[in-house]
Amino acid sequence: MEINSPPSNEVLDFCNSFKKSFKEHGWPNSKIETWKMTPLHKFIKDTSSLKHNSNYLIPNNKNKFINNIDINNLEFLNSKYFQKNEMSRVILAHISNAFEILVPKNTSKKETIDIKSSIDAGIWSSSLIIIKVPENVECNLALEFSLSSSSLCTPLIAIDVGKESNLSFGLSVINNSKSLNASNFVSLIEGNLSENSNLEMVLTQQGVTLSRSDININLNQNYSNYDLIGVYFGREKQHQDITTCVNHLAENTSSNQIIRGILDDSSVGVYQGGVKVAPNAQKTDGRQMSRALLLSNLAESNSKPELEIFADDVSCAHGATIGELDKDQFFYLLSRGVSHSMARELLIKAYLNEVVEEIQNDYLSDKLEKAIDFWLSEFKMKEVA
Amino acid sequence: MSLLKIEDLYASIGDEKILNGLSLEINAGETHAIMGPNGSGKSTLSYVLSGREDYDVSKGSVLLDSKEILDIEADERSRLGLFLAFQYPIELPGVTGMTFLRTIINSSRVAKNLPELEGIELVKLIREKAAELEISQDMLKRFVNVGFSGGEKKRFEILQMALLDPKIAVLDETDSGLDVDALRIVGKGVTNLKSKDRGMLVITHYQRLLDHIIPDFVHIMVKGKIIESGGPDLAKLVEKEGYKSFLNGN
Amino acid sequence: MPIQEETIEQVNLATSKYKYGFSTDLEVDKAPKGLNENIIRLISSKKNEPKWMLDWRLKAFEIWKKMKEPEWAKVNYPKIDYQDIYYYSAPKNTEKLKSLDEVDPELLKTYEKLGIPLNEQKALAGVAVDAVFDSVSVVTTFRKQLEEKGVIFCPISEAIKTHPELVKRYIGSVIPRHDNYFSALNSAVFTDGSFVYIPKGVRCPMELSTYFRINEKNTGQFERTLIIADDDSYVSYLEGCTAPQRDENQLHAAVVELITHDNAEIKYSTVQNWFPGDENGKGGIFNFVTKRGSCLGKNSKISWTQVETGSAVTWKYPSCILHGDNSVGEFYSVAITNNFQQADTGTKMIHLGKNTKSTIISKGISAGKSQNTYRGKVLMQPGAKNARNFTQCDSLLIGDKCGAHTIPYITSKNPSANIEHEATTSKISEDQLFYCLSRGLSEEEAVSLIVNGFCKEVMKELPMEFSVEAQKLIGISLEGSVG
Repeated sequence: MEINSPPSNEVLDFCNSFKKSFKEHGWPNSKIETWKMTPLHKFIKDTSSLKHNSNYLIPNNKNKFINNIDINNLEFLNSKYFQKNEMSRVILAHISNAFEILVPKNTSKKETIDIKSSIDAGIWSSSLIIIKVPENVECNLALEFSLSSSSLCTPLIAIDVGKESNLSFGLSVINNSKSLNASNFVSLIEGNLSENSNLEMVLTQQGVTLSRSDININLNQNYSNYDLIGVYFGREKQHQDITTCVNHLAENTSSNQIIRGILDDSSVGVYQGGVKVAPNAQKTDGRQMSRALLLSNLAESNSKPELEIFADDVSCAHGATIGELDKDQFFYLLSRGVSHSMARELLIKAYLNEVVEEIQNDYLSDKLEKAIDFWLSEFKMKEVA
Repeated sequence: MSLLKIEDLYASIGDEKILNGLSLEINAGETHAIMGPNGSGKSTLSYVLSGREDYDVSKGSVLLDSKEILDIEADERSRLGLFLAFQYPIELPGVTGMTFLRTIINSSRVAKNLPELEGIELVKLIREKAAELEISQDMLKRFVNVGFSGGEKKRFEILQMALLDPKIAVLDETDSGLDVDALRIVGKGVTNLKSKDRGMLVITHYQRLLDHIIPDFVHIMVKGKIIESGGPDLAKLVEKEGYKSFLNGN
Repeated sequence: MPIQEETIEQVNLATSKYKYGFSTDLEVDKAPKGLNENIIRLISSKKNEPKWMLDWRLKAFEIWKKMKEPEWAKVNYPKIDYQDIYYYSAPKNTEKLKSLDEVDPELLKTYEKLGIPLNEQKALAGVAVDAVFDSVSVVTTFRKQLEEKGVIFCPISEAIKTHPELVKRYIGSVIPRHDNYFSALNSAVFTDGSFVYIPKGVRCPMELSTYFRINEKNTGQFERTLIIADDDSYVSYLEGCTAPQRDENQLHAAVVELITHDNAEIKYSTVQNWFPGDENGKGGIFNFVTKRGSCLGKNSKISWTQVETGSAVTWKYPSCILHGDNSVGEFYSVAITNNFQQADTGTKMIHLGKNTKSTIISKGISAGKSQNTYRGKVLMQPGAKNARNFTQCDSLLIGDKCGAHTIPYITSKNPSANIEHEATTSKISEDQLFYCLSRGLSEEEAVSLIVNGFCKEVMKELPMEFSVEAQKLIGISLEGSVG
């Protein structure tokens, strides 16, 4: 079932008011600290020829949860994050689609909503998506963006998780054509969590020329929890960027971010992860671990795991490693008669599968496993060629 | 029939010369033991035989079943029938025991032009051999060597040996880190793998392993070469008197 | 704004004043405030510098004029008016105080706590030391030992005249004038600093300390230090001292350049305890320093060890550029902030050569209402085959009104280069405190003990002279932070 919800006239008017600001400031430039490592102008050149369109498909027919966005439900755009972020005006000034996903209250059953968006060549899809999970609800949501070459996709997503609720959210960015040319993805995502709520997010980025996910999560109330598994795969000249910020704003909140990157050929990976703990956010537990695996001499990895701590009774740690496949492990496999290419494949798969183990939600871990297998099959084909 | 022939082997790592003219021949059905004090080059010998990159061989030859292997890569040497049981087995996080064993078994079978094993047949074979070494099914689900005790690691090495069916098995200080029970299990496992078609090289510092794996020949290695050879009694002599007398002789 | 001491100029220099167009009704001879070409010419001529040095300064000034002062998100300081500063004052004969009784008692209390011997206290406080001979003779024996080995250790103003080839060859080679705003400023108006040259194969027989450098006081504003270790040599250099250093000059923009050739090693230790100002942070020092080491030679090593406490605002990133294969860079740091202090400090390790190795251990302790930021950069360039970096940044927070921030930038362009980075944040646990208290320690003693334990990995890198005093210093810096 297809949903094609262009914004209502009122919402469109509101969004058009950003056109002026966009004309003045344009796309975020690399002089801005958070864009330094991802120079957009190198990838997104001329957007004037792109047509504006969006279509979304709901394969499992859960469209009863999808609604148009009412003009009165846009206060979330006044958040500090959306106000300050230079991408907001870009996305809003070119909006082609707007809808809201609203899971009904107090559903005893776990809902699973699957949404796919295919962006054809020559298309710029700019969407405003609100995801509202009310109190006492458990929900699985998968959102997949599949890009063709010469396409641009810029979604702005606002997530709200109500008290006592759990949202397992899988966001994946893939390419749907063999040639990997000028397919660009830049997203802004803000999540707000209420008391005793959980957000588990699995983000995979692969196959697209430029991919940047800019994620800001606010743990607003006590005992809220955020887990992120972010995996990016780079090949050829691709550029993968995952930029996150978790704000601990209440007591007893926890977050765990595990990022794994794998970079081949002359691809570039960027991870900017911030964990901020407000003065009143005592008993925060904030963790971050990022690892990047470089498979070729021309690949490049950049990490900036940041900690900003203003409360003292907290436990925060982060770790980052960058390197290549372990030589001892490699030799161990060779000494057992495993060929070079098989050993490489086994170790890369092991490296990626480690994070699959970390995912609580079966639905999401399955999706990640499939993404890993897909990338590995492409990788094997390239090795053989 | 000569399965392993090492002739006048010289090897170094960086500027350090470690093997200084080592020669040894192992025939099918024979079990040889090499004993030596720390720093004699025992581990270097096992790494050079199995083809580890960091070592430079300046002179000598190694024939595996009459084929020169010094210029062959590690994985090919294994497929030709050489097995090394590591002194410090490597951890492979993310790779389960089952996956690992399946991969190495089939790699070896393909090299011997045998069809790959899959499904029930494969699992049955693995479980059978595992049971003999008192390795639980649970252990096979865990990541290779991650969190394994010393004894578990060594038993897993011997399991691999049982499944790969090598012509020459080199056991590098297999007894290090083992308690009495583990030693017994490993000793039994290795002894069960003795056969008239296979040659074994047991490298050890202490004599006690040789009570469980009884050697046909014992060699003393000092400063990178073999200075004395004999029967099992030689090992008992070392146990009684240590390596001092051999060191003084040099 | 800061006021420099009145300078008393000798009459025979009066004519040169007029040459530079000063106003004729100046009563005392001091250069007016502000920075312009004339001031720079004055500085150079007062020091009797050769023309090439003056030209070098002038070029730096041109560069500085085109630059903009950097803005740092996490550090706030009142805007500095660069035209409202005296850049030169002639070496003055400070009026010496007659005895320790005339010294600020607060200062004396600190000296006592740090266990500084009486004579040293006098010297530090500006008291005329009776046994002038003693201190002179100590310094003379010291210099004689160095001369025997061929080690050159003198003020840089002297080296410019006595060893121009060496200075010309190396000055600005590690930190070029255009590197940053403050290095450009320093290059134009630097006053004095240390020059050290260790010849081939020499292991410097003693630790070189700035305390023993014959130096004019009150010229520490724009210090410039240059240390060169030739092939196969070694030197350990100590900068600063644990006693609180008062200085009316608010802005300190020093430049330190270190160069090691093949197989050489430089160990540079700093214990800086600038006067922090009062409890409200007024009157403190702004410490903006550019320090960089270049491991030019194979197998060479540069290590930076620092214990920083005190300044109102600290902005320093001792760094290493690892050119030579197998070279090693190390950074060990303890940065303590209390009251209203702000520290933004860290390091840069740039790996260019093969098998290069770097280790970063940074311990930040925040208390009071202070902000403590670690900002680091590890860069593995494509040529850095098999390079290794290990970084550990730990923050300790005392009280809930302070902040600790860690901002590491990690980039790798070589797959065989291995980078490992860890950071943790914690506080002193109630259990730890209680355990100490139950053994009879006061709360302040307990905090001092625990914090010293937290910093152990860094403290053990300090040369002996410093480590004992540094430990006491940690305790004192954290006074009033608990409870």
